[in-house]
Amino acid sequence: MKTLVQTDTAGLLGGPPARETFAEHGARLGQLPSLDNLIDLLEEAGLRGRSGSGFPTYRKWKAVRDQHARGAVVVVNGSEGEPLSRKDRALFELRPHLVLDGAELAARTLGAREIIIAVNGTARRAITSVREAIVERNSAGDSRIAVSVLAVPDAYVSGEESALVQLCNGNDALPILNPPYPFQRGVRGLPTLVNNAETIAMVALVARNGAAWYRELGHHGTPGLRLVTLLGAVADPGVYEVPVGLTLAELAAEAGGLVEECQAVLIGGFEGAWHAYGDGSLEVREVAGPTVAGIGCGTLVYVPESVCGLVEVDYLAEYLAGQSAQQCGPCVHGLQAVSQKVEHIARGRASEGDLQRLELWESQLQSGRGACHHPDGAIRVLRSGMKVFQQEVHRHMRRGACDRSERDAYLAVLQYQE
Amino acid sequence: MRKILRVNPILCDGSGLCSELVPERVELDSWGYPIVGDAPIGPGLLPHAKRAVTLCPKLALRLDDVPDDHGKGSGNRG
Repeated sequence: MKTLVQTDTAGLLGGPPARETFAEHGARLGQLPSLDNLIDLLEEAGLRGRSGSGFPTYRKWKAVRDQHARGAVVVVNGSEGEPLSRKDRALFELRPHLVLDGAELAARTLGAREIIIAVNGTARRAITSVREAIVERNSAGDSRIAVSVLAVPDAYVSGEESALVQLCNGNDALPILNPPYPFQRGVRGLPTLVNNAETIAMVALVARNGAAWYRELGHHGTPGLRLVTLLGAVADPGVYEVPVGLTLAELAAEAGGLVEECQAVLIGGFEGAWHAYGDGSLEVREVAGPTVAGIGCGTLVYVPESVCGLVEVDYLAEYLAGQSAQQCGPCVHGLQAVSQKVEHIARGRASEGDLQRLELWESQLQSGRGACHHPDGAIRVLRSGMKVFQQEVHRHMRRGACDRSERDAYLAVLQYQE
Repeated sequence: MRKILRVNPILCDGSGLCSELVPERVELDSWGYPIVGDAPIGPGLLPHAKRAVTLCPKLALRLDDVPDDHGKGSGNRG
């Protein structure tokens, strides 16, 4: 998947439209400040985690600090196993030193002597960029903390916090049951901060520019900027940096506007949620609410009218069932069963009884049935899809599959085009 | 603090013993895996819950002490 990356922003991607070296980075942004109240500053700024849950960053830092352990570890999560997301790769490729700055600030604040930068194993350019960045800093004599790069298997659950810590500890990247949480006992048994790469890079800017600067960047009263991957029926698909709180139409306009009539948007990645496009006035914020969508991992797919929504819902169900870590019974058996029923619906072969059974299974699987939240996320996106494409469901039940459902899934085409 | 039952879903292989011993708190899903409610285990149920923890063939069941505000709005675990 080729993506354009915007660089004329006030935030992380601001600066030259190319990879910034350590010298260039220092010349543009100045030295990394030394702050003893950084956690307070992050709270004041209202910075939230970028991996999907929107958890306040300062609370994660506090949790590690409050362990009062001798030593800690900072893990930067750039595993980006979300199939269509490209924002972390873009950040590593263009602004590796912002990520390393933020990680260094975290390490200093939390007394960590080790930083692990976890990058998607298939993202060769990103890995090279970070490796070079570490060399650049070492030769500038600027690093007192050990920094290493860890290639993460490209799978949906391998970026889950506990799975990532497992990988750091030399095990397979599979989730484990918590507690203990990584902040209690993580890498080599030490309290471990796991922050998304974008989150940690933004820390480097907030530390330099202050909380007020960050808050003013937002829109509609929501603080901050977000990296988003905008895809589908837009003129210029790619990675953009946008104020939080824009509407679907405003976001589409960032990517050159819609090129086709849009029926629905998948917001927040494969375990995000479907929303009807309507007049494009739906607001996208950090955390979902009754009338606003949650931005999740920042990936938005604008799905055109020419696509059968149920084929997309079916594709997601099958993909997510296949991405189960195969550890927990409800996830292994449940997602597989759900996926088969959804396929029946998409193909126009389902009965009323199938629909009822699907609803029963959804209610059994929706909350906390696995060691990680993979089944929860899979069921959530499925439910939102069944709701948004409700009319399509009824049409398929009455008249069988529609003409549009003969085609390959739109999401699959996006995922596998190079 | 209150006591709740918790399943480690990685260890659990769905023997179903827990739902026979503590049907008040454990039901089985369509594939035979336990759905454990997060309602507290009161004194009356405690002996049964302890027995289920001891007898689980995979040692996948635990009795946890949690703060009183635990799990509000987050649904079931298990």
